[in-house]
Amino acid sequence: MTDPTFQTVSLDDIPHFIESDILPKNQYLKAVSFLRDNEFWKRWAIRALLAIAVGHILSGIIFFFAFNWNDLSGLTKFAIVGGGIAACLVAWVIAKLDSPAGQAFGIGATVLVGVMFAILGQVYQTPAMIHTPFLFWAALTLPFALASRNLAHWTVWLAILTVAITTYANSGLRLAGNDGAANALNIAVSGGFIAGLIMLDKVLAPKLKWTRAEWFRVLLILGATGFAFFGFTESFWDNGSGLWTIAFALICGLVAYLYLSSPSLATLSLASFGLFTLVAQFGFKMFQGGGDDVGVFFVIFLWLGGLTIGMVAAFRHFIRRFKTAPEIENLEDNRSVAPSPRSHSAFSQHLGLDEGAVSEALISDIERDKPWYMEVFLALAGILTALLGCGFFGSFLAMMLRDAEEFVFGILGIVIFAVSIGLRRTINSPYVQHMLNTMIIIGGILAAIGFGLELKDFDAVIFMLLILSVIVLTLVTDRILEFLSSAAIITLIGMELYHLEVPMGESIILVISTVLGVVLLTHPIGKRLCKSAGTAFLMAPAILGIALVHSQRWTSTVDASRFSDDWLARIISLIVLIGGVIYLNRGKTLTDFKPPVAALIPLLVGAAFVPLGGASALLLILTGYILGSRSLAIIGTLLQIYFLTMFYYDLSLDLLTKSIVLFVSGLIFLGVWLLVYRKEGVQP
Amino acid sequence: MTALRYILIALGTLGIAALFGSQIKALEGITHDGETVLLDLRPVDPRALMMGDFMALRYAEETPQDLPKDLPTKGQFVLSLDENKVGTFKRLADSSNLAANEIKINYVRRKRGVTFGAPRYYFQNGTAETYEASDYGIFKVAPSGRAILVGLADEKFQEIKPPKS
Repeated sequence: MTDPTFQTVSLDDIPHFIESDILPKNQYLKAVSFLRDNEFWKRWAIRALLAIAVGHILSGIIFFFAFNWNDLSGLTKFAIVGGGIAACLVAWVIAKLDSPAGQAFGIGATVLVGVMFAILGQVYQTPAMIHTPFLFWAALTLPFALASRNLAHWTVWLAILTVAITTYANSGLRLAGNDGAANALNIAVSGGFIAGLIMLDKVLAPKLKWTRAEWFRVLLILGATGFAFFGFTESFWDNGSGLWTIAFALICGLVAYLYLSSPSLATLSLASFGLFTLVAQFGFKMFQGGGDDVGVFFVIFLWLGGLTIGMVAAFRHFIRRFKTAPEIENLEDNRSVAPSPRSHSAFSQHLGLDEGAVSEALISDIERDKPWYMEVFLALAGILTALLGCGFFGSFLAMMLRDAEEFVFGILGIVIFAVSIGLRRTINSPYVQHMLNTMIIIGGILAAIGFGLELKDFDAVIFMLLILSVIVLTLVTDRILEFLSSAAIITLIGMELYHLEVPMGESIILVISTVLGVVLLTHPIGKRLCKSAGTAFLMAPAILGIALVHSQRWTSTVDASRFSDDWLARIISLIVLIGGVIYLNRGKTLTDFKPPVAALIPLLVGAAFVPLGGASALLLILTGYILGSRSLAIIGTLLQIYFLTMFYYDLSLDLLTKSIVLFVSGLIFLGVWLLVYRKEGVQP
Repeated sequence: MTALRYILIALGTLGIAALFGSQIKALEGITHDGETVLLDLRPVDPRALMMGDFMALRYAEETPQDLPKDLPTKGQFVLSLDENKVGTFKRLADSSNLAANEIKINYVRRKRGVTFGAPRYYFQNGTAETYEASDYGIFKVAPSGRAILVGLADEKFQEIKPPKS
């Protein structure tokens, strides 16, 4: 009997079809269009639109009160927000508790309680302990979360509780000198998240459909591993404390529980990576005793390399064991949270392909079942291993060749680089491939350091690293290296532009990376679709924007205008954003545009005001939406949330102006949402 | 089940109304009726999420020279007030009566020194320059020792008023 898995085709299979010469590259977008689950993305977009509307309106209210208008008395402020809370609660009841609008009002009421606490602190310049209002906020709004039957509402509530506990541990206990209690609290919270997860799986999910969303479980595990990491790390490096053993046991228990009773790839790989971050620290402990001895570098390098290989093996085992079983996210009750794949026969017929060849290609694709988040975790582990490898090799070579010229290191680096690439192109074993990936990075960095020290020329080093990165991108087909080399290319271009003090350097990077990103995501190059490279290039301006916002805050609050006041740069980023959307919709009429023009225009207005990089984050979301890529949409959403937060700290506009911009754009989004929701008649 | 949900919403609403109502009443009482105390401050600057622009403050009396090493986590200081209402650390509060020019103020211990509970002064966005000349924090202190920061004063002990918009 044929394994049912191989009868379905998803978007992730397209690159393999192109590489196998089954799908002509000029049919790539047609294939994407066929496989894109339009119903899923329509529902996603409608929800996203409501979330954006509510987020903007609430942010506008927060920014308004943060303006701290002198002409508004304290009691007036309390009356306005109190009235807002009451209005939201009444609207929640009138709109029906479980309707999308009702749930939005419920979340609005919860958030406004926090605004009320902020005003209390603002008017009376209290309290001393930052955790106090968050604790009360969580306590007072727990009844709303309990009444909501909505995981988004619970997520907001959990975020408030998490902040309360974190601030109590770090600003309360640690400031009072009670580090042990702070670590114990962090570990206890991790245990709380795990207990919550078990209760969700065993008690709530079997009875309540609305509790079954996979993304919420992922968040709980993120919370569990995050708090365990902090509790473990603080106590592990404090020689007197044994609390780290509890944190370690908790995460081991979590992995075991997920493996034995509640498997899903996302949660298992996240928990496994969390365990990796704890176990890795045992190796680093050797630095404490061993100093910077070459042998220590070597042992830690082997330790991390072994752990990475172990993680590769674990992931492969998880894929083999659990991918054939229906994942929780594909259960009928959760159809709305995952796009549906298509049958391979329908796909073949639509595109005029040989059905047998398609089926054969699906069977032969060994990378088929590895989700993108596993690649990310392996990439992080691989980078850490590579850095230690550089430390070891560099120290070893320095010791062996102490009187040698620097260029000898450069030549050795080139040799390691070239041999590793050559072997990488021929070897199929995933374990060896990951080690060779590490050696490629090590060789490249050694070559750069060696020749760089010899030449003492910044431009020459940049150029050399650029060439090495392009070689890796061109010759090695590996998602991780593709992503890293693309990130390196755009970073190096940016560094050179800054070094040469080229004016409008950020905009040049924005244009180059956006063009490369959009082209690579929509056009196969030869037989390769460089999705990872395209993603890296598309992310680069947003990452640059984040770096710029933080460097602005660090250098001076006086000189805040360079990236915030630069309206020319914003106009350029808007033009690039519009150009990207038009290019992704090429061949379509305005009425067929994704997203609809009525939704696109307010999005563009909003993108015009956030700091540089925010427009790129929006383009990531839109590209994910248009191409049906959840990973792009998720990355873009996380970056966009970040930029909205950073908008608060942007000093080029005062808070009152920003509050008006956000509130009005939020109302516009709400209007668009209402129109679309009524027109589509979509079930929430 | 639906009735339970409405009951939960009603309970939450009552809790919110009760907490804020009682807190606003208590704090308004301290603002109007509390003893005025000026504390010498050492201004430190930024923006807090949701509460807006603020000036970070430290008070000289939060790190007095003669604090005992085994200071309790929470307690009260006794401050003596001069003719300008400027408070100076006198001793840890005990059962003895206060002199006419003495008041008690609550503290919470930190790694270095203590805090009286007002590490920031919030002001309207864009008006930071108005407060750069501040030398004292103006507190209103209740008989219980609870203190709230109500303003900043200059070197002449005059309250710095917010600018007119």
